[in-house]
Formats: sequence, structure tokens, C-alpha cells
Amino acid sequence: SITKSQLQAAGNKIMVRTRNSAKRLKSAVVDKTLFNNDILLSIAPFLDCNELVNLALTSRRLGSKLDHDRSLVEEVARQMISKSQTEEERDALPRYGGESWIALLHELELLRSPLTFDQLIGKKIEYVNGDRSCITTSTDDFDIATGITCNTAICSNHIMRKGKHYTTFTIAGSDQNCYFFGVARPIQGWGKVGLSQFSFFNSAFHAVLRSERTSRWGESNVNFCMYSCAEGHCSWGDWQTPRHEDWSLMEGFGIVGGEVGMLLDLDEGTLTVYKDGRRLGVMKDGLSGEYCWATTSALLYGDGDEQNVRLERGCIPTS
Amino acid sequence: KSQRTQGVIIATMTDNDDAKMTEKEAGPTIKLISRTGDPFELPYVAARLSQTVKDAQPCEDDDENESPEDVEIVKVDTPCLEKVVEFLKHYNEDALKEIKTPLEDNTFDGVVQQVWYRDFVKGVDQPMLFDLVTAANFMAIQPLLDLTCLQVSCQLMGKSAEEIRVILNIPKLTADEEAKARENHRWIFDD
Repeated sequence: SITKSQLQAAGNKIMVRTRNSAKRLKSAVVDKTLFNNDILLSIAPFLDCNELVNLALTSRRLGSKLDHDRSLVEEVARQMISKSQTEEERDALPRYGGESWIALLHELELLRSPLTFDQLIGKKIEYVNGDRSCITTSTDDFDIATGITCNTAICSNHIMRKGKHYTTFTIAGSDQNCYFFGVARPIQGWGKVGLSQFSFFNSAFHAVLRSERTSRWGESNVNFCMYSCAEGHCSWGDWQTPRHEDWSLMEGFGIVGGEVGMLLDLDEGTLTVYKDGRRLGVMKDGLSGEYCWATTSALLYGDGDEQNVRLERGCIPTS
Repeated sequence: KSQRTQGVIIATMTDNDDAKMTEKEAGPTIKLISRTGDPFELPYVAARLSQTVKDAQPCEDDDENESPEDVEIVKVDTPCLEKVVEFLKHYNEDALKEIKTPLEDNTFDGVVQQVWYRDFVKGVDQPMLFDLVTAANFMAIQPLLDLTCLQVSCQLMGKSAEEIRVILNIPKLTADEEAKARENHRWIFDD
């Protein structure tokens, strides 16, 4: 006769076997489905790049190099880019040697998404109502010697590496216009430091900024280039020797706001300025390598605090 | 009473005639046969949503396929094929609205507004869901592939690698494999 405990042990074994076989069935089904290039290609468009990377991190079969020296998820990313990329996008995003296809897909997603200020550097700069494409600054953290407060906002996640890119900076607000708009080399992690008086012109930061150099900056000595909204000057430099220059077609906005348009052409190496939709001209040439859009406000103590700046990607102007 | 009875008989005969006429208007039917030999009959006009079924017919021009040939779906089991046929029949009555990317909503219910299709996908367990994905891919039924892949994607959205492993019952990477994988995708972990 079988004892109660023997019966119980047998029952437990059956339960474990059943659970294990259910798990094996589930694994087999997932194996057959997920580790299939066509099916992964059908699932991938619904996921963003972060999710694709997490998928690649789940298993060797998804994330390790197989044929073509690429993992399954990498191959899917390559096919997604190839299927959907326009000619303009291909020109604007050449792939660096050794660059991950998922990383490139991530850049393509960013190229298609609205521009946002990803880093706010300074003590008195913030988003307007949580809108990451609109910032406002105040004079509370002013420098006693100069009476000036500097704050900077950078589109550090939207890196331009080639081709043409156009954006508008629209100033709304009152009585003074103390903004600079333009491009700078992409830098990461500065927004968390809470720096006071940060701007690309401030020589106190130049040595550290130079240390951020990567091979993707290229050979150009134009590490930043900004248009002074009030008077129209061009401020640029290599973070050794800053320059503030007149240029032949320069015009400023004076004390009022308006829309500054900027066209970065990395094929020609030029930065062109538009004032309220009207083309002023090429402010600077000799640009090459990677840049991102940036703005700095240099408010004088006593200036109105009501100004804000909205950033928006635009279509490449035809003239 | 006899007049009432005759009336019912006449009405029944009329209904049957109407049914026959509807069947005739629905067109020819076709049987799809599962891997284990079980047949499922449905109107050809519904079945031809599957490119595989369409390609298996003798005439390229569908209007000439008056007697479509039955198709053996050799890679799909009976329970799964039954669900596929259910989908095909319903799609013929009320087509699924196209699922466009990028998604306008990151929830399944936000993307799929039609209740029948929501219930169709949510009413199956995970092994069946993955079987439906494979079947839709094999039978080249794009709307079913989109619908089931969307549901799989929604299960993975916002999940870490570890959470995805649990959902899909995938074995863990070793510490070395994980370190190497993270190195390959370091950009995403930079703040």
C-alpha cells in the first residue's frame, strides 16, 4: 500500500514536471517566434531604441554577433533604418565606423522628433510650464562685479553631424533682449552640476570644455558660434581665444524680441542667420564636425524677467 | 391553425431561400487544413487576406477562382488555426483599422479602438499569442501580424532586460556576457 507521504511526494513531482514542461513549452514558443528576423522586424517598429537595447540585453541569441558580424537586434535596426530613411536623413546622418545600428536608429528617431533643450546650465534657468522646448531665465544669480547673470540651454541630445539643419529661436517678452543663439560642440552631464555664470564665452570654463573633445569634433577650430540678438555680432571660438566680431550683413533685434532663424550647413561649413524670416546672410564659415543648437542669456541686473525663448525645428529655407 | 402553420412553413421556406441566396452571394468557400489534418471552412473572400492562401490558388486573378483549392497550412496547429480562421472571418465583416507607426499611444487599448480585436488578442494566453504571431507571419496575414506584434510589444514596453527575461522566460546572461552587451550599447546608459 502507498503511504500518504509517498502519494504527496509523487504529486509534488508531477506538479514540478508539469511546471517545467510548461516553462519548456513557453521557451520553445518564444524561441520559435522571437528569434526570427522577420518577426522581430514586425515587432521592432512598435518599440523605441531603449526598448530594443533592453531586448538585445536579454539573451545572447538576440544581442550577440551572428552573421554579418551583427546581432539579431542590430540587424533588425539596420533594416528599419534602410527601409524608412529618406535621402535627406541619410545625408544628415552618415554612420560612423563601428557605430552601433541601434545607436544610429536612436539618432534617426531624434532627428524626426521635436527639438528640446536637454541641458539647462545655470542657477536661474527653467522650462516654461514643463515644456522642454521653451525656457525662461531670471537675474537672481547675478555676478556682483559685472551685474550679469548667465544661463545656457543646450540641445545636447540632438547632435548634427552632416547635411543641413534649420531651427528658429523665438523670443517673447519684454524690454530687453540679451540672448545669444547658435551652435556649440555637444557636451554631456553639465546640466546636473548647477553651475553659476556658465556660457561658452566665459574663459573660466574653457579648459574643461576643451577636455571634452572627441574625434567627432573634427579639425575645425569653431567650437562654438553664436549670434548676439541685440546687436547682431558673431561670437565664436575654439575655447582658447574667444572672438566677438562684426560681419558684413549683420543686423540685431535691438531691445525687442522676434524670431531668429539659423541654418547650419555642414556640407558647406556655414552658419546663416535669418531675422523674422528674412535671410541676413552667412555669419560664419569654417564649421565642421558635430554641433548642437544652444542659447545663452546674459541678463543685466534690472532687466525684465519676463522673457522666454521657444525652440522649433523648421524646414530648410529655399532662399 | 392550418393557415398559421402553412404561413410558418412558407416563411421558413422563404428564410431558407434567403439564406441560400446570401450563401451564393458570399461566394465560394475554401478549407484551410491544419498541421494535424483538421479542416476549417470559410468564405474564400475572407481567406484571401492570407497572401499564402492566395498564392496557392491556380489563377492569379481572384475573379477566376470560382472553386478555390483547399490549402494545407503545414506549420500551424489546430487550436491556432481555429483562431486564425476566426480572425479572418471577422476581418471580412469589419476590417481592423491600420496600425500606424510611430504609435500615437503607448497602450494597446489606446492604439486598437475596435473592441472585438482587443478581446481577440487579450483572450489568448502567451504561448497562443506567440503561435498567432508565427502563424500570421507564415500565412502572410499582415493585419493579424500587426495586431499580435503590437500586443507582444506592449508587453515589452518600458521593461528592463531582466523584466523582459521573466515575461518571456529567457535564461539570464552570464556576468561577462552582460558586461559585453552593455559595453556595446554604452550610449544608452550615459546620462
